[in-house]
Amino acid sequence: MSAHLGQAVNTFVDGELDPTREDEVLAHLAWCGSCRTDVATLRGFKAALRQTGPRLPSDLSARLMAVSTFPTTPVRHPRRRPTVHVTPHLSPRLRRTAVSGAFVVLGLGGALSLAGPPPSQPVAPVDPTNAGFVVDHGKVSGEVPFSTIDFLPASARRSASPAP
Amino acid sequence: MSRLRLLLLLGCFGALVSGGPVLACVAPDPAEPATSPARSATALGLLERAATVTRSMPWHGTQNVLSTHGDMPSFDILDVEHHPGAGSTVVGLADSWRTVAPDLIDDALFALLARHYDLTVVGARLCGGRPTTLVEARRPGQTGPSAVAGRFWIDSATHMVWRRDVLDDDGAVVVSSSFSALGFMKGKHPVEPTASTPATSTHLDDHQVQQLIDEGWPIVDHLPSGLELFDALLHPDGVVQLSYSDGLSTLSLFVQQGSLPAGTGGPQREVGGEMVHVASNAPEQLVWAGGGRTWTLVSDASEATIDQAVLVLPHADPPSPHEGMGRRVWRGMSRVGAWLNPFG
Repeated sequence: MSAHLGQAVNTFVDGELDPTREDEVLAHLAWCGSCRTDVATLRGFKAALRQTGPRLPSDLSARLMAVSTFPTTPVRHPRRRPTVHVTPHLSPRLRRTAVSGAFVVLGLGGALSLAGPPPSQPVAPVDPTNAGFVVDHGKVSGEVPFSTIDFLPASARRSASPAP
Repeated sequence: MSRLRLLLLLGCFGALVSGGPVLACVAPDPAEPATSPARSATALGLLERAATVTRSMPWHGTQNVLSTHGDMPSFDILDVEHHPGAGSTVVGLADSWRTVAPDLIDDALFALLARHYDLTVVGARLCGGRPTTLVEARRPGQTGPSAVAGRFWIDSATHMVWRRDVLDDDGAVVVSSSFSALGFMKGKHPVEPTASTPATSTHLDDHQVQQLIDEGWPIVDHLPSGLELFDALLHPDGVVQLSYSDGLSTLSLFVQQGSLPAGTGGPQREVGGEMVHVASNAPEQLVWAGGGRTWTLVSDASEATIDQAVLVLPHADPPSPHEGMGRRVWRGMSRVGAWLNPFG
């Protein structure tokens, strides 16, 4: 036999031990003061519960033990009308998509604003009205340029764009 | 301009056109039948020999050039030298490296001339007091004075083209070039290019022209009035020169990327509803912008021929201010990337 009664104290207090086991517990309590203290404390606690708390139905234990034998058919609840949620509940996946979309929109908007206005078309590098074109035309065509163009400076061909 | 000066100018012009001492050549009677059938071997042989002599012999001459483009006709007297292998130069020009080639008939253009016109020997004629043979280039399928598109007076002594006229559809002279003096030089050697010669331009072959077309350059191989693309040059400054001709008239297009400079002004004229700048009249130089590029047309062809060419070339600029969303976003992201790039 073990040194103390342990869980057998509760069964003893409840009077649910068989006679043989009850005799052994009584013999132990005769020489073990610690277990006698436990038995006294538990009896005092149960006595206090009976005096202050509601009385439980006498058949509660039997009903609780019979829970496992309840029918397994689903219980039909009355149909509820659908309710409109003011605040939508988003799934995590949808929430991640929304956040990613927001980042994309913000990125595109930022890029658009940073890009600024489209670059203006560059100016033709050579003055298109330059008489040097007439000379180049004459080289290919065999046509003689007129003296009105003969006094242009040699650098006139590249004078279209202003100096940066 | 005073009335007296105007009368004097008109009188000089009338004398030039009607056979004055400078361009004194006998024009044929339109009713006079040609002495040889169309595209005669004699006409081809005369012009071919003239082209060969002009190209291969060293010569010196005084050339008179008349152009009737614009409101006022232009006339000039040029002292011209030709050295085989070096081309022809106008003596005394400030920009001597700008070698011009005032040959009255160019070998490269000869094939175009023979392909587009019926060449006919009209007969022997005096031109400036020199015995010449007159060859006419006639528009195929046409008769009468309007059929003649060009006239060549071939000098009997030198076998060179002494005078060359280009006529419009109405039979009026558009350009006339003639010698008042001409002789071969002896002991002359070709002039070597000097160190000041600028970077040479690059001739573009068919494959290179096709590459430009693939890159978006609006290059066509034909223009109205039978003008064919016969030469393409890429200049060191990025200008593409496209030369079109029918053998008589030549039209050069100088195409460059970009818009017109802000200060582009001068007189303008309307061509088929499109406004173009007139930079010069002799030869005619028209300027406009279109298709994201700037166009400069230089030609001594008739006004009708030039106008038809102008009309088929791009004028409307693409809607450049409207930039695609993707391109703009990419530009903005590239800008951010440039900020973050420690090596940029």
